[in-house]
Amino acid sequence: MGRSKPMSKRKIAAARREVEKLIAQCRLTVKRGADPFQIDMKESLDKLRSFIESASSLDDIRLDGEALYDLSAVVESQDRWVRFRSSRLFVDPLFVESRVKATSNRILARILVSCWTPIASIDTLTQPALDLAIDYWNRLKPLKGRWSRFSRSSMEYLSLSFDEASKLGLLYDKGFDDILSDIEYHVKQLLSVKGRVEYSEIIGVENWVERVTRAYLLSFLISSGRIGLIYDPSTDKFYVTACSGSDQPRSIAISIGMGG
Amino acid sequence: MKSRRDLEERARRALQLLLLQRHRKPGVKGWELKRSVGKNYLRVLEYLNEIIDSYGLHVRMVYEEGETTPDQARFLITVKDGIRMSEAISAGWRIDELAILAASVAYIASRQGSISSRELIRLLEVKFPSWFVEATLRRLVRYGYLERDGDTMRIGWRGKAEIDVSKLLELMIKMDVESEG
Repeated sequence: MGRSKPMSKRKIAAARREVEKLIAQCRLTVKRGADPFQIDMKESLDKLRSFIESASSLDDIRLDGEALYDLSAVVESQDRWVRFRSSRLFVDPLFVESRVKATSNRILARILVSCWTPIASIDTLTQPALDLAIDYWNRLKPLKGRWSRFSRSSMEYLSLSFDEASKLGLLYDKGFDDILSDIEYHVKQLLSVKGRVEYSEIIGVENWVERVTRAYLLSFLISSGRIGLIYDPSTDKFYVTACSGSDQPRSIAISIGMGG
Repeated sequence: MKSRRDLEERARRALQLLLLQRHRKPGVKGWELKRSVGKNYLRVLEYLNEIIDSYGLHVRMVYEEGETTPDQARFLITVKDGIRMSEAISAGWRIDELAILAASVAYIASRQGSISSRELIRLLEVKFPSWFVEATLRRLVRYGYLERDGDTMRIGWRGKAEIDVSKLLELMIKMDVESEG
């Protein structure tokens, strides 16, 4: 295969972006069960061919391999799509949509009930659960004693020093603006080294309370437009950037793991 | 298997395993049955099926994502011939919730088993207020009728076990939209 004229750096970067976009599109198509024939195989393969001919690094070759793999997954999905469409189970989604819209809720419910066979099972108390219940019962203080904790008199004299409230996380040593400025400074320092920083890198600290606090502060900074947040479909990760790239405000939920 | 008595004994053990809920999900995995009942557990389940059939019950095998062999599959006992609408209502279901379940399962099945949750919500919001759609879908996911993977919705393990999807689609095609029954 003869090598074509070498591409400029800008063209290579554009081609790389195209391949990344293709990978994301293939993955989304397979994952959501969308029409796999919407992806033009010939055009995609031509694109990959010209990309690999100008590949300049190992990363480019890896990216090409990844794209080929995802394209083959789309071909597999096309096969499944054809089989499904020719099967007895196939009903046009548009037809189902129109039926759902046109039918009353009572009829829909009746249809479901006529092909619904609920699971039969018995909830039982196991030995470990029984042991746990006995242990709980033995430790339980009498009702009188428990209620006295919340008696009116004890509530009236409850007081906390500034240090105690601070330890409990009810008060902060600094004002909210100061804490916000601290995290903004920290993020901007990270961004000065690289163009974008992975979201989990910023909030990823051992202490759970600290992690939640950082996530909260970060969301405040992003909502106010002081820093930006982008989603990269090729890595399936969120990245914090210097400024917001989107004019369209939208709400995003990001899981920050389980707390303990 | 040695004798009929042995088969009966194994079937009794299998029935206990299948009916008693020990985990969050009802039923047992094939490998658990194999360990307790023996390697011929599929034969034992066939025999058990014959017995419980007269009580209107049925042993069902359900494959979850990525499972291919009976050892990996989940075995459950379900009602054999379905239930009446009044029984569903008295079990705590609302007609609107049942309608959402029917529409969701039929729509997902017609799209090869997975769709974007936004598409499903858009369809359901034509008929129901969005807060009700959100709350019901959350409940259906929690019960296992639907499965949410990021933005993708699929039919969940309970949906596969309890709902005859091909019959549902068939009824959807045949139904008379005008009749209110």
